[in-house]
Amino acid sequence: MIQDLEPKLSNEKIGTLRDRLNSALVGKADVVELVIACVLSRGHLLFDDLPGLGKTTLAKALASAIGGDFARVQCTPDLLPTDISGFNVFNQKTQEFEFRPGPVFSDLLLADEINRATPRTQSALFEAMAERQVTLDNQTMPLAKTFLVLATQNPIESHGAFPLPEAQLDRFAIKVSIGYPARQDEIQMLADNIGIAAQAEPQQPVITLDELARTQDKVNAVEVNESVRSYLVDLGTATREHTEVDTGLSPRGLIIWQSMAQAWAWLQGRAFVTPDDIQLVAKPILSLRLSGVSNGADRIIDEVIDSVTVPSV
Amino acid sequence: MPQDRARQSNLRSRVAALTLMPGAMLPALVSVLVLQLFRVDQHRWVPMIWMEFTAISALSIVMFFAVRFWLQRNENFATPKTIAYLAQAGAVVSLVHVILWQLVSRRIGLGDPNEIVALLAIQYVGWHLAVFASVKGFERASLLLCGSIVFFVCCMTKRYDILGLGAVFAVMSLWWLAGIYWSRLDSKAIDGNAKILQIHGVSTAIGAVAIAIAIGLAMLSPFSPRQISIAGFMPFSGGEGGYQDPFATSGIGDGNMLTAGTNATTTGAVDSNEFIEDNKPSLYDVMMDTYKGPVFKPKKRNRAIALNEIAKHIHDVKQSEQSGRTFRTMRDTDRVADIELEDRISKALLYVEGSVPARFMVDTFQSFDGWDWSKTSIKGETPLPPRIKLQTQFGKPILKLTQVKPDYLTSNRTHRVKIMRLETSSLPAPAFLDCWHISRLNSEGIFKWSESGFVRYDGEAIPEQTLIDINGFVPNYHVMRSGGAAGDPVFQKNKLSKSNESESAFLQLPESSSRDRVDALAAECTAGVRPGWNQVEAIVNRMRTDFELNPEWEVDESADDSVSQFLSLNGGPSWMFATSCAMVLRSAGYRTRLASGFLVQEEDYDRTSRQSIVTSKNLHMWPEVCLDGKFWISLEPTPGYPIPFSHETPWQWLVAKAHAAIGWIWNHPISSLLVATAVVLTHLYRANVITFLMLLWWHVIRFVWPSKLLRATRQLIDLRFWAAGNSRPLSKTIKAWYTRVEPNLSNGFYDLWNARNYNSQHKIGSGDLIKPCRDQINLLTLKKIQTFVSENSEQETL
Repeated sequence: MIQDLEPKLSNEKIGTLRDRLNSALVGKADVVELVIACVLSRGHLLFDDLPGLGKTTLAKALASAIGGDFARVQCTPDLLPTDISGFNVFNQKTQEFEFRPGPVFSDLLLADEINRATPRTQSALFEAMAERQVTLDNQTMPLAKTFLVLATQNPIESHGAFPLPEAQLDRFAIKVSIGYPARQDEIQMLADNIGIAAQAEPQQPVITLDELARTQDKVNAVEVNESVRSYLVDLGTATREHTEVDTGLSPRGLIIWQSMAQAWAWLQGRAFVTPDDIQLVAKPILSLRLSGVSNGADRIIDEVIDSVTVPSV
Repeated sequence: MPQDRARQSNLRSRVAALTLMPGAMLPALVSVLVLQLFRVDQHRWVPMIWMEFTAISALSIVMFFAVRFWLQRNENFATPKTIAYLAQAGAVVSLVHVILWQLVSRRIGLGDPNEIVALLAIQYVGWHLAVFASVKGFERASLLLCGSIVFFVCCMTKRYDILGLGAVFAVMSLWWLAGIYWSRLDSKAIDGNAKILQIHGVSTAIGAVAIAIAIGLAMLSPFSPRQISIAGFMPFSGGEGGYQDPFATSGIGDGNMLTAGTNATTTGAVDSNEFIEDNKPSLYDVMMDTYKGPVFKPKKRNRAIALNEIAKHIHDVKQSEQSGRTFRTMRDTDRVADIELEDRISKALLYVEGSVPARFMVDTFQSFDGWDWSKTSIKGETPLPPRIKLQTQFGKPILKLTQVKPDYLTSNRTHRVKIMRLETSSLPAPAFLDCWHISRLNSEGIFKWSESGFVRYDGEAIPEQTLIDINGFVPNYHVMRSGGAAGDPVFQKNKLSKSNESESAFLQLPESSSRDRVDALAAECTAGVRPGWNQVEAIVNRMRTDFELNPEWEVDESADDSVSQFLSLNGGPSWMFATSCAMVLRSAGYRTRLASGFLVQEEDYDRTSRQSIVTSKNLHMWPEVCLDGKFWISLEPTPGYPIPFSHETPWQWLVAKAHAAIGWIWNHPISSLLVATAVVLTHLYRANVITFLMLLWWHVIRFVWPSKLLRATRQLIDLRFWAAGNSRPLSKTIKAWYTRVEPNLSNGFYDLWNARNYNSQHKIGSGDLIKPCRDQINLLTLKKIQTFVSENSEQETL
């Protein structure tokens, strides 16, 4: 029966999270859904859009909605790697080096304007994002299980900006472009901002880290049928074989794609992934990873999807 | 590690690509079965075939899984190129192993003929390629090889099980071709644009596939055993060692057939019982046995109708005794009476090699008195007797008739006739006899031109086992219908008027009560028809269509003559067709005679000996007409019997068929109108017709296979999209494609579809399917889809 297919999930918290984010970013329910899916899939988020479209607002709203330590790094060209990872300080009293953890040791790290930091500094996030740990002076320190990086970047400015290298991009799960809101949404947004104090009251988190971790575990258990996995691999191969793509999807990208599809299926109330899920999350995943594509990434992604047959019995 | 997982995933995809491909394996399996069944007929020990087949099959499967295992263990080498090399190496091994196995099996006397070995080698290569069909190009190559094997075997066999499998293979191949077409269509429709013109292409493709299936089945069906007599098709046919195909033309074989003397091409020593019999039947005996004397009027008259000269000796047995031994110079009529032809060990009167149907005339008759045919003097009649001249062609003596070939005889046909039990002095000759050759016969005086208008041996009877190569011209009916290539209506010029009737034996008509009816029928048939061959054809066609063959016909004593009885009963046996047709032709003013001899048909062909065996059953009579004063043209008025062989160019054939089609339309205006209307309506509403038929099929599935309702629903809706010119590309999910038309569609169907396809834990009962499926097909109607496609097209245009 259909009812049997529904996963026994408690969606209340996620529903509240969704409402919180939607109230922070009006008229962008699809973006919010992607963001939630990304969080549930244990992926890192890169907001890539023009200034003033709500990237930081959404990131902050997400940070406040999720309980736990929140850290923010405003990336600038003079930011050093140790400003992110932390550093050892010699304690005169104890005559020993003490480790001062950086913002990376939080549960949620917001790296604002990440492309304004130098590649050297950006590289400090490699290990943390991929393996959820930091190694410093031969000491490896684990990060939180729910460690999440939210980064924003401005795509049009090149002065004083350093484009993220492929290795860094591949560590993000998705790239989200928010875009301009619709006319009615903008009118509503203006109305909502009348009489609002400059410093809004901090809001309570809607989901604890433990709850988030448990939900992430459930999402990770969503079934991905063998035919769907084959479909996913075929899509990955198609990106590598596309003539306009220099470097196609990496195996890590495939895993992230699968996790995102699992999260998307879970959000739809399903305990299994369908090719629809794969296709729906394709663009935010692939637009981040198809290197060598100067323009027309959406077209190429469409071509990739169109070149692979959907599995069915 | 992610890298390891990625590598394994990549490997899994490569290994998965090696999964058995049913699309190529099934046709390959059918071709294997076809060849093995064919091999059964050729092999000395049948169980050996199936043992070998099982061993090879098992070996192939083991090899396949071994390669797969090896690839899993050595993933670094598992590139597509490596797999392709492996598959090619395997194919070569398959090829070599067949040859090696033959070398071994022949040692123990269980080998195959060379042709079969070659087929086996090709078949195993094809099968091997089918196993690795995922390698680019292998599936196509496999189907090509397997198809060639199936086609070859089907051409060589008359077995219906093999031909049936051949038809199955043809349908599978065409299905595969259609699949390619569909996938190309899908790839073209990737941009999602409405393809209004697409349906025309698909309709054409479906029509082409249907026609191809029909042609394929026609080619595979045993309509003509001539097709199986493809001579010398293999360059390695024949040879020595005992494994040559006995049907090979490149070699004689091991001499068995030479000794047996049962082949038209052999004249070896004979010691079998069938040749010891000395009571050879004449054409007269054959007639007696076949018709039990139908040409005699019972009681009133009891005289023979034919073969006076030949039949005379039956009543006049001459016998002499010398040195205590009895020599018969004539036939022993007592023994003839005792032994029926059917009882004889050897029933063959003649052996014939060459294409069939063919007629071999042995005797002719000119005069008909209402009951019997007889010979009369035809001195001074046309056609004038030709001269027999000895010539040499390719070092062989040829006896040739000196006559000018008219333009309507456009090609030649050669037969090899071996005289067996038939006692005759007449040369069994086809129509338009040109020349003949008998080995070491280099005297033109041995054969003479008979007064009756045929070539006869200048002796009592042509010796048994005489091998005669006979060449005759073949007419072109198209030229004859047009009145000659030069445009001169040559037939009309030579047509005699009725005033010549008394002067020509070939225009003689009996004075009886049937005369008026014959004249009326002749006038009716020829009215408005161009004189010459067209009138002759009109008369023959009338006989073939308006009268029925009735072999059980009995002479009615009260009838005035046999033709009268035939016309009254609207039918009779074949010889009465010939007689009546001859009378009508004579009434129309055309010189006509009755020919008797043998009609060799396709069912007489014996594949084992590669020749047609002519027995008393082949006795036949037919009229011959002379239009140009030179040649007698054979006619076939009896329905069900093949019309005499004619050679036409493909264009002439096409024109004739077009004329026939136009004629049919003209003669059946109401039927034609109905058919045309149906065709036009079907074309106009083809989308509705196709989807309606599919809807019916959906209902059938609902009742018969309810568990397959989901797929049937998807197929029906896909078909509706196709019919609307907006096919769903294979890369689009059904939800993504269908919801474009109806965004508010219920999720019920999609949930079921997704669960059935992608959820291993689903518990969907057949009863859960009906309502969502029905809702889906009710929401996504053809009209709604067409409206959506049309609006989308307009928006794109704007």
